[in-house]
Amino acid sequence: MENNHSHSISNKTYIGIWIGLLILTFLSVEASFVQFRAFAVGVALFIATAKAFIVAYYFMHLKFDSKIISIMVLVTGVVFLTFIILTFFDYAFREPIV
Amino acid sequence: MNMNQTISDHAVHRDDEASKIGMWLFLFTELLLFGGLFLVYTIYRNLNPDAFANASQELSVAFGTINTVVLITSSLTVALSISTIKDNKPKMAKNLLWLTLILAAVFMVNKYFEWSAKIHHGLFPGMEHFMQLPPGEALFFFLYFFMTGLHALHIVAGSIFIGVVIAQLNKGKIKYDDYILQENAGLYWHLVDVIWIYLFPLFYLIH
Amino acid sequence: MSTEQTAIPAENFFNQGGKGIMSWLTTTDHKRIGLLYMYSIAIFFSVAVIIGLMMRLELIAPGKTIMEANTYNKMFTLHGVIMIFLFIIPGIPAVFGNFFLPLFLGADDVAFPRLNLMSWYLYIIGALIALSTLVFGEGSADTGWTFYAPYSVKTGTNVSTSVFAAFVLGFSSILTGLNFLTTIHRMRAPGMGWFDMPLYLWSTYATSWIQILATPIIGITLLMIVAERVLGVGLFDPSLGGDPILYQHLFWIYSHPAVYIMILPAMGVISEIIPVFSRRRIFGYKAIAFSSLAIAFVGYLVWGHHMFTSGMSGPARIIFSILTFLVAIPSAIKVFNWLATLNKGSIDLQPPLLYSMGFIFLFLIGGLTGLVNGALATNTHIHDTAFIVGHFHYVMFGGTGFGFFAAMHYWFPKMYGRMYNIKRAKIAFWVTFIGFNTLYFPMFILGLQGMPRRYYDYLPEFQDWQVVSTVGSWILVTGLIMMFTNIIRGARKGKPAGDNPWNGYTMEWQTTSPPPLENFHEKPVYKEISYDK
Repeated sequence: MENNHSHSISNKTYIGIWIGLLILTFLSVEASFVQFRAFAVGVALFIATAKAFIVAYYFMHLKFDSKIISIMVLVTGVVFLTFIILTFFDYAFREPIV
Repeated sequence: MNMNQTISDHAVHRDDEASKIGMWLFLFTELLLFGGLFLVYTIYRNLNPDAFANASQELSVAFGTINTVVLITSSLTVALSISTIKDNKPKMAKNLLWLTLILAAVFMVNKYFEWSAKIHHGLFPGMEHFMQLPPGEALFFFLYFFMTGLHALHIVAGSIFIGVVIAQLNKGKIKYDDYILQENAGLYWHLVDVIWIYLFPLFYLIH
Repeated sequence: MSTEQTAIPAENFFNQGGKGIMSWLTTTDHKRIGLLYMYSIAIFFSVAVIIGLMMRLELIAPGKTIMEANTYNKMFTLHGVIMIFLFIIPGIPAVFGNFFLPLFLGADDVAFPRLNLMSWYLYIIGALIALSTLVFGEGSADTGWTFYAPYSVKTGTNVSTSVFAAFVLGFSSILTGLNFLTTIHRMRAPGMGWFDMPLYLWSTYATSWIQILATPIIGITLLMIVAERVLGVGLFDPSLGGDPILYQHLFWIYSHPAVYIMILPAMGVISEIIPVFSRRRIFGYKAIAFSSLAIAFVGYLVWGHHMFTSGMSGPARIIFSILTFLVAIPSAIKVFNWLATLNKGSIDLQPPLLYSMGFIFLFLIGGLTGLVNGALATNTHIHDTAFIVGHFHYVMFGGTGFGFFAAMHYWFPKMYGRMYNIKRAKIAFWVTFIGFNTLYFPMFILGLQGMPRRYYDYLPEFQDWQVVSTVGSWILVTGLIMMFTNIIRGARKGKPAGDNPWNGYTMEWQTTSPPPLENFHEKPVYKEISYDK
């Protein structure tokens, strides 16, 4: 039973991570009022992805689990990105309907 | 969700790692379920950038922020409950899970008020005001109700899952050396949190 | 037949674990669940074959022959939904995957046995919901199995129920995939590394990943259709700013990878059978293993080739066309390796190999016509014609269907401990094979001449080939009946087959036939055995 290894995160670290997530949340709200124009979506998604990564890495224990799970997460992410990118190849080049 | 049943089958030679892999694979399907909706959102927002920004003004940033904080905190309590059960403190672990459920309830109450206000304004798909919206804005509200509604359903499912874990803790079936069910419930809950982490900026924070 | 045996061993899973129907309906034994799938799939397959037969009969003459246009629309929808969701997608993984995956691994069951049973129940529930549209509501869907918006949200027929059935079936498929992936990761016999696995497991592994990562997309898409029908407005409605073509994207994001869910397991079966009957180690093990993964991945990138004439942008069409050609590479690697394995082998033309050769021949035609479809310029000409129908029947039925029959004839003695009549099996193969080509090959010609698909009527000049095709359907069905009666008779009265009638070397042949409840009498350890050594 490999699972009972106890290198878990201390409660203090957890709370630190929680505070970090809250800071990122407020950062994201603040950033949305700044006029970044084209970058606004990018900034919002970047912060969201940072938060998601922190949740997955610490709260969901990817840091400590066997690497195979992280690889699986990566594969899933790549496949999903592929869907989005390939669909955009259609919409980015659509000719406007007259 | 069904992993909890199967663990008992393998009481003789239990394999926590297998349960965990199974749970993660299930989470991938959940991610891609929302993934399909995110894809639709991305395409439509790209086609109607101004309409989405206009429609987003209807949503309350304050409500959204509060709910984000609530969910992040509930993720913390779940994570803490797992580390407490490892330290063999089942009572504390249970209390932390109850706290999670309370936070989930707060989230749902907030959501209820938010939705009622929108429905009151006739913004639910098919309602009168909705039908008069400019094209892109109607899509925004359809997606808003569809995606946050589906997310809320997942909050309910996750709460039931956590309820099952609490019951098992009561029975002493989850303990310091056998807590994979609780870990899996935690994974599910964090996933629901991750989805909200994306829903929040995409719906509330467009200006 | 190497080992002659006079009796079936008493310790087998038919005797152990209880008798009577309830012991089957509550079983968590993967072998019984595999058989439950097989019996239910056989029933649905027969229903869909009868529907197909009736459609062919309708097309024997121009104009109305035996049914109205609208009935015909419902028929091809139901034929497609049943064949795809109830036969081809679950077929090989759910029957032979369930039965043999743990045996291949030297394990006693799959990782989540109860979940496995639940998948079967979801499958049955989904199937019943799909078939209920025949009886209840406003008639079964007439949209085709693709449920394209906006027609699927406007038609008065019972689309919501059919779509919901597909959703439930998708869930069943996901849970099976999840189960298999976990089992392969965690339950390999001691000493069995990833590259010691039988190739069938590699194809199952790739298939399961597609099931996990693609099926949710169709789930949510179908929910969007239901939402649109319930609320009266929806996401694909152009008057709200929506785009019906986006529905097609979402549908094919799942449904194209699903094509590989259908064909990959069959390829795995062929990779098992060919070395056994040519008494040679498979040529290029790793190339076949990796080509399965490559097919699974590239399969995600090509969905747009279903939409060349839909109004998709020009650059997207070109990109999807190029990507489509990539799939041919791993597929061709497989075919090359199978043929290379046969080369200079000591070939024993038993029914399983015969069906495998049928597979290779038909899949080759299906695959090569696939390139014709994938090329943007020719596609514009043959899109939505009978050519497409011919193509996917060659791939799906000629490929997966024949793969299924090959698997059935190969593993039958292990599953039942008895042997069917070899001679009859060979005759049935030839009748099926000839019937198949007579039925589907004319569709290529008709399609090139301009015969549209999904039409119940046609111009008189098409009639000659239509008649040939319909006669082919009769031959094909005769062959199928011969095959199935032979199999059923074998299961009941066949001679005991012995533990290893084909001299196979994979782990499933090392236990008794039929296997005992716990699969192996003692926990097996993996040893590399092959004909070369």
